[in-house]
Amino acid sequence: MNDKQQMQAALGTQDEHVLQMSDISKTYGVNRALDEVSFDLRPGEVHVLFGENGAGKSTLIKVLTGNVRPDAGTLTINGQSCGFLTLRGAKAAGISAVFQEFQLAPSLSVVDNLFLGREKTRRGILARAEMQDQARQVLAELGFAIDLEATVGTLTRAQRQMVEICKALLLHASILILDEPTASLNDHEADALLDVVRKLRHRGVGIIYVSHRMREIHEIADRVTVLRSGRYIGTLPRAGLQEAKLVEMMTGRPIAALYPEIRQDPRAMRIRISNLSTVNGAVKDASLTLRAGEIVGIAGLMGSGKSEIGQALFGLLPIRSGQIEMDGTLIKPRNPSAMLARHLCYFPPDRNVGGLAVSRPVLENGSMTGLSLNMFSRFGFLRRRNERSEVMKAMKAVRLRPLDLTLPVGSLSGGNMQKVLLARGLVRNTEVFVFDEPTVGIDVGAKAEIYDLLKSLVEKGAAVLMISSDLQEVLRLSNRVYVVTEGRTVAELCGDQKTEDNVLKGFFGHAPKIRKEGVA
Amino acid sequence: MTTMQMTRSFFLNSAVVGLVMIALLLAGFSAASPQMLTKGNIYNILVQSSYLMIFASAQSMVLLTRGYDLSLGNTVSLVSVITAMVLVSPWGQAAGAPILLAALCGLGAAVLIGGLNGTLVAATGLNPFIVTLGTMYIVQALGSTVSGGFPVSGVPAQFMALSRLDVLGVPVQIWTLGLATLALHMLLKWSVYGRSLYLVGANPTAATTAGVKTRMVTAMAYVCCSAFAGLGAILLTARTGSGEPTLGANLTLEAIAAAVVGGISTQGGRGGAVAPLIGAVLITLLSNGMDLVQIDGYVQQICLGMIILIALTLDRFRR
Amino acid sequence: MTFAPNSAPVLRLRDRLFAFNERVGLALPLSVLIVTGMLLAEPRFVAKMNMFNVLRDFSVITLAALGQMLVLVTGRFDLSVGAIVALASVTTASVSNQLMLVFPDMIGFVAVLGVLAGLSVGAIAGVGNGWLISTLKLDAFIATIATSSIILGAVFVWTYGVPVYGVPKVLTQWVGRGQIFGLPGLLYLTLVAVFIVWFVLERTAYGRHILAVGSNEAAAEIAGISPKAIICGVFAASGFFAALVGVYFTARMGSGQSALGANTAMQAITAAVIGGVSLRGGSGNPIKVMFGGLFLAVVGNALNLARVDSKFQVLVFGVVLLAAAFLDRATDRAARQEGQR
Repeated sequence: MNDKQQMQAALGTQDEHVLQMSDISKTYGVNRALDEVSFDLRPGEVHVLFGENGAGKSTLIKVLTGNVRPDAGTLTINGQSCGFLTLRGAKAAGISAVFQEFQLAPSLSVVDNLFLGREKTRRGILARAEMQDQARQVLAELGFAIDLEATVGTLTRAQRQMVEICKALLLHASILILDEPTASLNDHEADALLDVVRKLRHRGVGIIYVSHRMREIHEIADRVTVLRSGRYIGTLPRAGLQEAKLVEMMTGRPIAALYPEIRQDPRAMRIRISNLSTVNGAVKDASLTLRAGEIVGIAGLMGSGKSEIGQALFGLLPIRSGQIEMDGTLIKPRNPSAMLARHLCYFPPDRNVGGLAVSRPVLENGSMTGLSLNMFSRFGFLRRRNERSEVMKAMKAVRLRPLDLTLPVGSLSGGNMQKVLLARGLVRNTEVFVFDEPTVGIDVGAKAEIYDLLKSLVEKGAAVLMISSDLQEVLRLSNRVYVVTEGRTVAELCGDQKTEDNVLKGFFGHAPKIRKEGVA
Repeated sequence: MTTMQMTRSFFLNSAVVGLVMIALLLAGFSAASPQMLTKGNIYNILVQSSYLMIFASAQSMVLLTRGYDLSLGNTVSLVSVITAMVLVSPWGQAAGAPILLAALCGLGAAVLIGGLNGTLVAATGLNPFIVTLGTMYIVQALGSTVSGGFPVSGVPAQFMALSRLDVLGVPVQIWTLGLATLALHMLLKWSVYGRSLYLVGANPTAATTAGVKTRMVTAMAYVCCSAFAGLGAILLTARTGSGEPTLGANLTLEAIAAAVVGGISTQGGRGGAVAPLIGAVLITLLSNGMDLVQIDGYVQQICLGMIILIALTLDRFRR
Repeated sequence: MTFAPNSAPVLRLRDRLFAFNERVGLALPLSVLIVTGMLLAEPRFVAKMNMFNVLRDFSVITLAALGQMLVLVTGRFDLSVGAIVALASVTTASVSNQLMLVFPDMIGFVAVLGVLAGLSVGAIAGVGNGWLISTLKLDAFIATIATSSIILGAVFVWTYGVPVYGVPKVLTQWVGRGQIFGLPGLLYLTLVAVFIVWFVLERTAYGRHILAVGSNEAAAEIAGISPKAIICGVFAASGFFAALVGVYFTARMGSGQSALGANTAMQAITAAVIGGVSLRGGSGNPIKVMFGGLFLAVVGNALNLARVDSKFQVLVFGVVLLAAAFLDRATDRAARQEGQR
């Protein structure tokens, strides 16, 4: 695309589409990631893409950025059919994306990152002053103050997010893709970002905006397109946006049907954490209680330290100060095996990275937590028959499909991987379950199954701590919800207080005061 | 699994590839030289591979945890020198059981080196390459200083007789070959430690989260590696009949090569107990056969390099 | 919205040490320390012959370490440096030897061709390594051990392990024993090489790309940088610098030798690690590496002057390497905690 066309795109009238995607399909193995999905974008509009993790949003975006080559469908940019895009082609067409996983080189400076791969040079020598001027201009325009010479690795998540956005803007994109850009920002930062988005919209940039936050969607969306399980479900105009309607489209069932009615029956106190802080500074002052027979939720933004509370409790992170009581006695979580012996099990959020040995079979992953038990080994040698039958029992309980213990875990779907992870808590006598993002990236069906499992665990008297970024999940399944901001538990919500509004207020620091001891 | 996938995975199976290569080499060499398939020569190949197999098994333990042990070769040299020096020293004789004492001293030195490697890698999280490179220097200096750089000769005949034993008409080394493979198999497939080794190699974070004592498992892998290497060094010293400060010069490379060729992945957590066996036999067969048809030793070195590259490439496609 | 740049006050001694290591590095104070110590304690250190030897060792180690540093910056290793030194040495000697028969009156021309042949063979071998590692995605460490085996095997088959004599006189006189203002010519070449590598890394787009590939390969690729080209490039550079060392050895000895360079790879890695090159890639400073080379050269010399058995000297290098790696690790851990906050 040449400059003239870019100008046209920028000045394009409302009825003209800057982008049209029709009947895009993409299959990975047996998994249909996109099934004849259509999507369009006008210049100067914010088009929100809405759907669960795994609904196909990211695949659709990656088709646009040239990372993924679709199997079928057509793609038209500025009225020109352009076949399929390569990484380079997408950039040339003025498409620029800010992903949730940052594409930054941590050991380089901000300005180096902003111009990575398209440095300005004079006779082969980097024109640093020129690059800095341009970068400063964009930063000023956006109202960000970041030291251009700072090493990216030392920046906070929010600052890195800013660098990513500047990078996209320096490209003079006519199509800008923002993938949950506010996930790690606080209130003010998020507001400023929305201002930037409005500014860009005014300039005629077409913006594809991925978000789950109703507040933002209400504020800036011109249209909302919903995807589910790789299929196009529908597009709603700005007028007539209703949360219940959107969630129903997203999940394919009325809200009530997805989340089971859980009988919460809080009994003996299992865990009491007071004023906990970790050595790495991620948790600064966290206090909470957890009783047998209830689910307690922890809500927080990305990087708020909510996940680290679970890790510290399981002995994965060194603790600086604070107390942890289990069943009334003070304990020091030294390492995971000691906590497992106390019948507490933590289930990490990232199945591929921290959770499962994906190249190893289901059997080995299932028995990982129980190897030292007499049931599984004697005198250092495995009791393989017991191992197989116990793991089989656990896998049946979590309804693993296919029920084959020899498959490498990496060959399973996300939902089934999560079930294998969960089964690890079942092969030994676990009474306290700490779930970190239990349903991230799995389809609705598997989600419902996991919720049913949680229900049966709790109703049998287990204590469940659920750390999650999925607000609906936290609010609807928990007996009580703690809100974590900057490593602190800033609010405890129970009963009628459990609303999205209250949680968000907690995120942004004007929450109702935390109560001393919470029993619903 | 479709038929195509099955065919693919069958041909990428390391044991199958190794056995096919062994068969091809045997066929080729026996066509070129009538001596190849004689009983004496086959025994010879197996006897030679038994030593390499032990070193490859040692290296495999560390490879399974995504590490390397570069100090293996020098450890072999040091153990050989120490064992021989204790054997010829007066107090070796005075103790009454010189061979036992010498072997214990040699093994003790090996375990110390392994402990140092393991502690540095597991406790401080240093890159295993740099750690074992550093200890390689240190061990090399110790070995050559202790011996003064010269072979230690004059070891008792009973010790040398260890390498000429026949049990039921089969050389002791062939027994070693079989027993060592069996022991490694038991360790890797049946013991809790072996299982932990695979889990740590496949995903250390996940293993830690599941309560596996990752650091301990990693450190022990280096200790086992050095201990196995020490055992091999003692057996090899019995065969050469003297403590050689350069005994292990090429062994680090050959041991890594044998393990990788046999199918131990360099990315950790993959490969079974037969891998060192197949790899060692393959490499020994190659050099034995080339000797028979009088191919220059340096050409053999080129072939060894090629074989490692092929093995690495196959490992790539397996993933 | 406003963000203050991260300016955590530096309070504790530990933090201050880390900050110092980050900015200045370990190599400069270490080499200043040992040079001062030698000047004070050892009169033989400043003797002309001795200084000459130290500077030559320094140059050789630093040249090899520069190439190794570029490879380490991309998060990889090159263990084939020693083999390439031998290959370049034998190539230079043989090519100039053969050409002298064809052009007996153009000695200078022959010598230049010989040197060029040696250098290009080194660079080509490096590209081969780079291809195996970037395209076939083989483990760099084992792959370069394998190519070492192949290259050395080939060199031995070619020369039967016998030195190749008959190197043109100009080479031995000008390159091998060349002096400028009483200092070894190689020293000037080394300083120029340090400057060039620094310039490329800090002042050109290609240098930024090398650092980016080492820092986050996926991000670099998305930014339109080809990691393959970068990796082939740094391995070619490593091969080239190794070849430079090989050519120099040839000129100094007057013959092409296949046994040269046995310790070069390890020395190069040690110097780079002391010079603060991160083993996880993404950062490296040729000037610090140069001081790493100086430190190693002076330590070696000190041990020689003290008549420490050369067999025992390696022990010192082992301990130094472990200590440097340990410090690298400790500071990196501090940096990562900083990033999490």
